[in-house]
Amino acid sequence: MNRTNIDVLFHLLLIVIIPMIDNTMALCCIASVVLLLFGMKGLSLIKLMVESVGIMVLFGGFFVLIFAFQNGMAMGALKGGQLLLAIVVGRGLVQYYSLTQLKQSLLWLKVPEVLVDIMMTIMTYYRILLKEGRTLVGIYRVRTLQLSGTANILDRLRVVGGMIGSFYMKSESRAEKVIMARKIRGEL
Amino acid sequence: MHIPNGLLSVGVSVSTGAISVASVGAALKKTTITENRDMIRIGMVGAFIFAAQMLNFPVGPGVSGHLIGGVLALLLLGRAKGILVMTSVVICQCLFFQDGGLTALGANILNLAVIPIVTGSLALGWQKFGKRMNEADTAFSMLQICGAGLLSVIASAFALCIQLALSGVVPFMIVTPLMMFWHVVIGLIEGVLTAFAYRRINVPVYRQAASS
Repeated sequence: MNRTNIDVLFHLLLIVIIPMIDNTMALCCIASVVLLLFGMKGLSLIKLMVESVGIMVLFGGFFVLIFAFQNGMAMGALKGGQLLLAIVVGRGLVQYYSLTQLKQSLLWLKVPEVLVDIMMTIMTYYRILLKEGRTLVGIYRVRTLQLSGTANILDRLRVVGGMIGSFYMKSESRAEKVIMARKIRGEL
Repeated sequence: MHIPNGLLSVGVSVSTGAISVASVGAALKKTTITENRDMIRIGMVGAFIFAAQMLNFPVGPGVSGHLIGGVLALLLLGRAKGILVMTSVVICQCLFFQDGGLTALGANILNLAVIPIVTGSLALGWQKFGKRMNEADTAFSMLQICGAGLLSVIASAFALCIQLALSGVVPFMIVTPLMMFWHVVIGLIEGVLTAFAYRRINVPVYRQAASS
């Protein structure tokens, strides 16, 4: 049992506990401690916050808005705070530790190796694939400029489907390159 | 479709968690990865599905859609590996992006990984379909894939309705028609996207072009 494993376990426990904290004061205290710890570890807090807010808008923003609409602004703000802090903790974990260290810790936590390997590959390559995907979305917009309204939905889906297919093939060719690179480095 | 923390009752969370653990355990038992090469390829498909889920395409006025990817994972990797890849995607979304709560992780894995792939494989008649995968660009196969995509989304949405009703969040008769209406539309989009995507992947000319 080394320090990294304990720290990873602590972060994961925080991710579990944070959404259960229903007290604004307690949440603010935990947020301060977490940010202080991350600052002491040398992580760039501005970068961390910008990334986390981006992820929150992308994934949880809609849920928080609906929650705020149903339960009032104060509860919405609390829910948003919980979500943002949990994302900050998750991002901090990924930024501070290398994927190899994370893998070792998850294996220590008895997560099956196959799942850990898949998760680590996802965490390594999703950014690259997302970048390629965004390029494809741009190409899609250009290709479907002349299509308008709902009458051409099938045409649009045909173009999108084809692009998702191309996207997969690009991912596959990238996988081949990764395999080659790792072979050259003697890792395989 | 991702269920956040605190929405499901303890009983529903525990029971869906148990079903998910059993299903993923069975998938792990059936999966044998002998080469690192296979592992990287499976991981890349996972990263691809993860990234594809993040990309929203405008489909109609004010409506955008994205792929869930259950049937696509089934077609590209098979049942067991497909379940593992979708499970990993859901876990990553939950842990590092807070998309779906940790207490509802079992339900999310059941709804987004196990049910779509099992339903998709049943709808496709996986044993027979797997043997004639190369003919997947025929109109009949395209329709089959489209139907499987639609059914997988409907089955997931129906499971979600049952879980919400059992947890006492909303009455079953109120939530089901609403969810079914929207998810038939989403399922149709998913089915058509999956069919066209798979046709593109399966056509040798495109494969050659991509590799060159």
